[in-house]
Amino acid sequence: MTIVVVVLIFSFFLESIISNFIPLDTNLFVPLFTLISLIIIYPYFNGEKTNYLKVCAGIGFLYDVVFTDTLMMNLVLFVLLGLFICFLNQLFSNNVFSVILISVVIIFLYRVMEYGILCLSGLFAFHMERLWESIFSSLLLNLFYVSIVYLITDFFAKKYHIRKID
Amino acid sequence: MYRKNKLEKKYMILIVVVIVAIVLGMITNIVRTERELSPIEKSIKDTVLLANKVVYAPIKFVKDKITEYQEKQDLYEKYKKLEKKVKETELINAERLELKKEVEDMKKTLELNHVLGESSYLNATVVNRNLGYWYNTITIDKGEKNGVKKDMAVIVSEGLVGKVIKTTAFNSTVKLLTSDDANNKISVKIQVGDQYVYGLLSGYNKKNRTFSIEGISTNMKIPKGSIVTTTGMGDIFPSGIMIGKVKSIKTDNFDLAKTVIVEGTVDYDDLNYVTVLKRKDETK
Repeated sequence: MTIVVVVLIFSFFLESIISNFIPLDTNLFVPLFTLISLIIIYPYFNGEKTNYLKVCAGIGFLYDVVFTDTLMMNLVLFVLLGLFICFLNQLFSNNVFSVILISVVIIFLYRVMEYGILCLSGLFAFHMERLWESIFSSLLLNLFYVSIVYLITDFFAKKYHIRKID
Repeated sequence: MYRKNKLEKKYMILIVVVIVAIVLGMITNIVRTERELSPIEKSIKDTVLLANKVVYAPIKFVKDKITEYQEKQDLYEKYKKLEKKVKETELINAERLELKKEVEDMKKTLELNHVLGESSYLNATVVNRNLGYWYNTITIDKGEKNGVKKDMAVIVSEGLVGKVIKTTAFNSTVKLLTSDDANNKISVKIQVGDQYVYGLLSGYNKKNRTFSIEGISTNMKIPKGSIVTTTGMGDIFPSGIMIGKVKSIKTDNFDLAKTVIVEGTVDYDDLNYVTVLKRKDETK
């Protein structure tokens, strides 16, 4: 569980800190570390889906309150994506390539659902180009992050014999 | 039997419509930018952002030192420029006093609500930027305890940054002028000689980093490089805050109105410190 707590807290704060170094109009480096950390931590729950989804809800709620000022939008989205991560992990074995693949799917789904909600609420007019832009701009940095963090956590898990789904 | 099924189908449609309406209503409420944060949300946000500030402090220290070092590189040139400016200050000061008097007189005549000269300044540090991607917001480390209130204007020395949309005790969220938000329109004026042309700043082009002003009459000739500032109408932004300079002018498809493309003066990528404009009546 230590790995789970460390990865979540580290990703949450790093996302906030890194935002100060990234241009607002960037088309490449949009951080989504908190969401991505949900993919890293899943194997450490060893199939305890309820506990995993509770963590997803908790971190989603914090994301809402601290970063986006929305009312439970990220809480719901993080839980839904948590369910999807559970499903995808049943299809793939846990290695760096499958983690990258799952990350691409999760980023895609998150951006589509988030933009869908914002457009439905009338906050933005729907532009397909804008949606694609948001997805592609989130890929590079987050895939790099997920690979690095996966390799580090995997190293520690093996070193200290921490049980996880492989 | 057939009639009963038809009736049930009608009820089902009605229920679905009601559910869809409720869900849409909830969605609108979820993302509403004017939503007031609950006391629990405010305290959680303040606590987490305090922790964030502590974690960020050493990184920020190093970042500031690097910036300081880079700025020191051309120190002599800057010193010479400043020396020249200092000599001009006395003259500007005398002019300022004269203008202040004129503004007071004109305010009475025009019944203006709020002008720039009536504001006091509160400096703040940017804690995080545009998390959530779509919202184009920044979080600053000054909140209700420092007298920050919703709808206060936020500026940097180059011009207008945005407005405060949410406040907690120690932090505030600022919506940037670059936001795609459909409600993010502000009244601006373009200085053409001694006259002003009024319009609505309505969109930001991410690629070209320009704003557009719509609804300008085709009769008006607006030279490139004209200065665009806020009008002071609408009770949020004081009059005279710099937005940018006219880059180009386009005529719409029906040849009825002009769209003015404005190059912003503020570098939104480099927002580390900002200033909140507190109205003097609210600082008392």
